[in-house]
Amino acid sequence: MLGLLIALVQLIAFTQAKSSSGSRSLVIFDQRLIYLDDYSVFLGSLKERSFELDYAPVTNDSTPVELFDGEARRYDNLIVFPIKSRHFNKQLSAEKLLNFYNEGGEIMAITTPDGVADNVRVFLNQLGIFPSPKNYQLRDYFQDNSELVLHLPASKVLNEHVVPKNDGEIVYQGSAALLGDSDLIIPVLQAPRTSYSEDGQKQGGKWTIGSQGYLAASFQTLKNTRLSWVGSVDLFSDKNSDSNKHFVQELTKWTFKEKSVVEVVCSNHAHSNGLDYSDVPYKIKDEVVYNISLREWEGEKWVPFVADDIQFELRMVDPYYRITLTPIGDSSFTFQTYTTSKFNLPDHHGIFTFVVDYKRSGLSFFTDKDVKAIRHLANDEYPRSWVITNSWVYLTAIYSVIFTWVIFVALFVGVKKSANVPIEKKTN
Amino acid sequence: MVSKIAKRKAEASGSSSKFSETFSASWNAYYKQVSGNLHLRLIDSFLVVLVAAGIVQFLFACIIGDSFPLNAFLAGFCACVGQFVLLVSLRMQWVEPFPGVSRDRAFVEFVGGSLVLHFLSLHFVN
Repeated sequence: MLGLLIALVQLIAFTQAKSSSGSRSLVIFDQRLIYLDDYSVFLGSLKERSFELDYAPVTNDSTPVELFDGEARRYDNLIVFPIKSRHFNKQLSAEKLLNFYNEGGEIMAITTPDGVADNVRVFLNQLGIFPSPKNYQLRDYFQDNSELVLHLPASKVLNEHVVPKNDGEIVYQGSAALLGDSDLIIPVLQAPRTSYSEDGQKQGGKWTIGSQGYLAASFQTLKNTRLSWVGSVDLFSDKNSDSNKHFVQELTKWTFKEKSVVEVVCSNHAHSNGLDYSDVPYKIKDEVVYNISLREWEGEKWVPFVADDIQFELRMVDPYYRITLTPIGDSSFTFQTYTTSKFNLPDHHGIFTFVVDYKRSGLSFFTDKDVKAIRHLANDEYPRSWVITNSWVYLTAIYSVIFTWVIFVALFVGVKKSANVPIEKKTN
Repeated sequence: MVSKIAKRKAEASGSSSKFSETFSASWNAYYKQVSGNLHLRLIDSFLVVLVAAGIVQFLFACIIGDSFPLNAFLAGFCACVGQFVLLVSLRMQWVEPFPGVSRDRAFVEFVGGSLVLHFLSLHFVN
């Protein structure tokens, strides 16, 4: 039944799109800066991956960009090319962008030194990505041909889950950004040590120096909504597509949830003898097993998610157990099952949570929780005193006291009459 | 100096002789009280048995260094202590009855109290 369901879900995913979230995409671009024909390889590969692209050219007199239809999102993905026009602020405010992102829309934001719209900057700043302001250009005098065009080894990419390492190089011309401390930010590409970004018009204004700058960064919210920022539009252009294709493709795949999406197929826990909680509720020190099945979307189909750092926790305020999960041998085609193997519940009753909380930079986050009560022993479930050898001593003592007492009472009553006379005589 | 030490010695021997005097006096008084009275003798020997049983249990718990069936230990030990207390109160009334409470009534009360005690300790030991 479960297999059938998964197959059905897969079928739907196949026919709709290769993204696990959705395929309706909007491309916003400035007609004065961008000729879409220059980016045909990039946009073509998106179409090939069955994205439905809508285009919203921004000019001086264009109407507001509507991302929502009532309360529902009109688009799943948003690609914002560099925009120069000052009217763009009014057409699509930073709040609207944030709202779209909050509601689960994926965003790919591209800026350049001459195309940094304020709304996009303000929006990115709220996430902790600080692209350089207008006219700041990344320079590196240690490059071969021009100080503006950087050739970066593609093996220096910082996150394997976003862009897998490869041998080529990345051609980059544009600006850099500073990144905040947030754990949700995923640095993707770092500026070389010899580079810096400087204001092209005023002397002395510096935004980043050396490796403190970043050329591409991603962000994933706790709801797994993804965003990527790249400081160069040349990265996507046709003229550089030979060297940059891999990077661009992998980055867009990640941003639009075509890969590194991990999902819990099912999870369950039960007594080690197979009975589950509804059959026999847990009590302290019971032996139980927890299993969880995980799968990963890799663009075309669900595949088993393989990792060796998934941990299970049994929590009541604090974790009483933290067990690293091990894969169970038979891996089916679509998911991998992990197990804690048998373990004994703690000697502590209460409301416990069975949790797997997996948050890794670059992979989608998942949390699987189940709250269950662990009861204490009932009064007739403790071992009886005569079973415990230690208490034989105490039992003997009690019975000997009772036995002696019976003899005492008998003797006491027996001697009463014969002894009464002399006492009365004495007291008299 | 010598005389002082001699004095101290004398004092010491005096105090020890005083102690033995006191001890023998109280022993004599006790013997006089008990000698003709079988009931008091019975009570006192039972008291000795109870003290011995209590000490044995306590030493056992100390030696094995584990109070594991704590309820069993408490039941056993408290049975001895409780029986001791009940018995002492019986003895007091037997020597000199409380006003308005006859010896017979004291004995019946003792029997009732003891039965309750045994009932409780048997159930507490589980």
